[in-house]
Amino acid sequence: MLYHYVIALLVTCVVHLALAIIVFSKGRKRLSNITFALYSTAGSWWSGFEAFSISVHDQNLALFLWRLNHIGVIFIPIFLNHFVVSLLEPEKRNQRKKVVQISYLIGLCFVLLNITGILIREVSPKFSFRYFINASPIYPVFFVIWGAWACYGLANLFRILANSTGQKREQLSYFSWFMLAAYLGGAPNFLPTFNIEIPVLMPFGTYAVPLYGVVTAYAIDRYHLLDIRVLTSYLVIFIIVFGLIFFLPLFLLFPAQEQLRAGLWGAAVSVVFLVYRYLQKKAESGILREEKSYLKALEDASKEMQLIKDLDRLMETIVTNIVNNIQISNAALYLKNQEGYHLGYAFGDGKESLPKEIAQEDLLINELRIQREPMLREEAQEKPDVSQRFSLLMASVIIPCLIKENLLGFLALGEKKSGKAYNPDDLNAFQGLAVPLALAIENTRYLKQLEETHAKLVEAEKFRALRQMLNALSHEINNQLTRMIGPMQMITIQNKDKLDEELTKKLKGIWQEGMTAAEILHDVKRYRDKSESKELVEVEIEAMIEGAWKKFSGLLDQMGVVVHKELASPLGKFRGRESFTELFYNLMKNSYFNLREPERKELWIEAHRNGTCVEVVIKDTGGDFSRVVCDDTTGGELFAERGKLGGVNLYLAQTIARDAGIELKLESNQGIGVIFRVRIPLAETTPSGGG
Amino acid sequence: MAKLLIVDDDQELRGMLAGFLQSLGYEVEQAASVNDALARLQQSPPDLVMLDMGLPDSEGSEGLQKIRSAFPSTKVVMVTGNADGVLEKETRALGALDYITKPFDLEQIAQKLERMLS
Repeated sequence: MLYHYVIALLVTCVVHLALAIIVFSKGRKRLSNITFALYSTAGSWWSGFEAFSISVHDQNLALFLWRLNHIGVIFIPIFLNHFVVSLLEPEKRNQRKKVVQISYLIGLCFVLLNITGILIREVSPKFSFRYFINASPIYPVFFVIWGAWACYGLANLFRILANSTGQKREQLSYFSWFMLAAYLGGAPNFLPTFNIEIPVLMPFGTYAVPLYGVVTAYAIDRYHLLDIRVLTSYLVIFIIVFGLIFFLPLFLLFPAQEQLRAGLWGAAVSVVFLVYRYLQKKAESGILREEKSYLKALEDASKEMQLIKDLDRLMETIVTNIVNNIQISNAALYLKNQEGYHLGYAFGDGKESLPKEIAQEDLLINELRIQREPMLREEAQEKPDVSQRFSLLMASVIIPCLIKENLLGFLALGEKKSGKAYNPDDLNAFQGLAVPLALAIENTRYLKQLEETHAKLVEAEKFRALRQMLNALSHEINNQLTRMIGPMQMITIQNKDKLDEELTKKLKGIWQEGMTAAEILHDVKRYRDKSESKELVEVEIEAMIEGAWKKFSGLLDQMGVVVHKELASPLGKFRGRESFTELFYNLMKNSYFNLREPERKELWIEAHRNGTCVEVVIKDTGGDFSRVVCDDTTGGELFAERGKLGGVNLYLAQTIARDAGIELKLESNQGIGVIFRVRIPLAETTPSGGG
Repeated sequence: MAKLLIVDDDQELRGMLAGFLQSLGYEVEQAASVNDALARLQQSPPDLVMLDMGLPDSEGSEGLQKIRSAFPSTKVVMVTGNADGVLEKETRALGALDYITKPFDLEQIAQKLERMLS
């Protein structure tokens, strides 16, 4: 009997110590890991000293070891409770802070009672133990408090289990049940103190304690996220292989032949792990058949992704493949851009509520950069801000896609529709998938960049050719015009007195038309120069109208045009391509040409704010257009035939308005003149007011 | 009266402008290229050069640079059939007194020359 106690306790001591080290090393700063490591250390302390306490021959040494043993015993339920509290949400954790502090205080009181010998006064031989504690008057009080505290901790643990969902529930379920089994098996070790012995449960119940430790260590170290089915199947295999197949037959077949038994046992041990591994793989392939099939599908999909050249199609393929193969509720892919990470593609429930952008310096991004591997929602619970991002993204797992230090993007995956937890094989597969994903994203981006660069080069080349052509054309036409109209002007100047008035007027008219033609060519060149720039500029609308007006005010004055100008101030800003600055120049030039002939020469320039727009009206009393093809630039082509060259300015104004996304309407009535109505959307930064 | 040098590869145009300016009393010399102009400048420097920007031996502001480096005090007015705001700024920065675009208004040219040579 004593032999079984000692073995069970020593195994418990080793397993719990190993458990404490593993758990602590996996999260040195995480409260749950720290408290669990302390809890396991207390268990190790208790079991280690108890193994010696019950087996030593010296009574005084036994008493000393029992007292040492009880330091661990005292802290077992205290650390358990602290660990359970650490599993709670930060808010609830803070609410229980005081309870935890009081429990430590009570624990310290018992430690004092223990080291002063009040708790344990003497030991004596009991049942199969060499020495066991005799209950002091205060010991029943300690036992009741200890028991109550342990029950409270376990009850809270099961309450958390009942309220948890998804992966957390999976993790806690087996962990909690094995812990309960450990308490039920280990607690009877108190009973000999009160001269009670329960057959079978004592000593064999003690084995439940190391078994719990083994299960937990195993789960945390390798299978902390694994489906309970897999864990239990592994345990069954473990027990069958090690117990039924190897150890039991040896003892049954060769009960008295110790040397032969030892030899066979040694041989069996050398193959036992191979057999165990073989059976484990068989169990895995059976239980995880479904998972393995989708992992294969994902692997195939990742190969297909390498061939996709279009980024949008690639994102869609990635997300839909994952959603369909793993059968998850939702998934989203975020890709890096200049500002941060933008939502590239989303699929499934609630995709509309996903954030469109996540900042570069966001805590989640930093965490993914540090971790560099798939991150589970449960792992983020210790960091409320990161955990909150998981909720925001409706994610159970987030997979970073990295190339070296560059986080190109990340995948946020929702819960599995089956309600099962993500297991380590899933995470390994995601980790494997993340690399080709990142490469595929980078490839398509590179291709896109190349295409854009190529398009820009082609456009630049087109502009260059156009510029050269226009320059050459301009040079030739202007030289030709100079040859034509120069002599005419010279004749009129040199023969001022000899030529009759009619001829002088005609010559001047021809000269004027030549100059106008040159001006139109010049305007086309001006527009071309400005339209080359794709850069967006922010311009004050008022300044732009005034600037255009200044260019014509002198000419209009010379022509005797009566001008009515009414501009609200400030009008606000427009953000668009630089060519926009030519809009009012061309509209006013149109009016300038329009007003050269009629007797009544009047021009109205009005501008005011209307909500988020600026409305500008330019109206003249010049000749009407003989035919207006369309009066709305947003709807289609606007082209007016007027028999005069001024139509080019109108065409340029229309092109500028269309490029800038501005509404330009034209009204042309016989005998009245022309009205241009311009509606300019304001840049977002423009302060309200004015008008 | 002031002496002018008109540099243009278009003989007809050059002749028309020369004729007009001579009628105003200016002493006018003509050159068809920058090299030709430099040779004439060497012989007898004029008060002002009217330099076309599209000559066979110099493009854009190149001719201006050549003349200004060889004869820094010479007044130069650029004449072009291809108006370009950037080029205008560039030539003014290199020392051109004015930038006249073709087709020009002869009366305006007469006023400008009078102002520049006074």
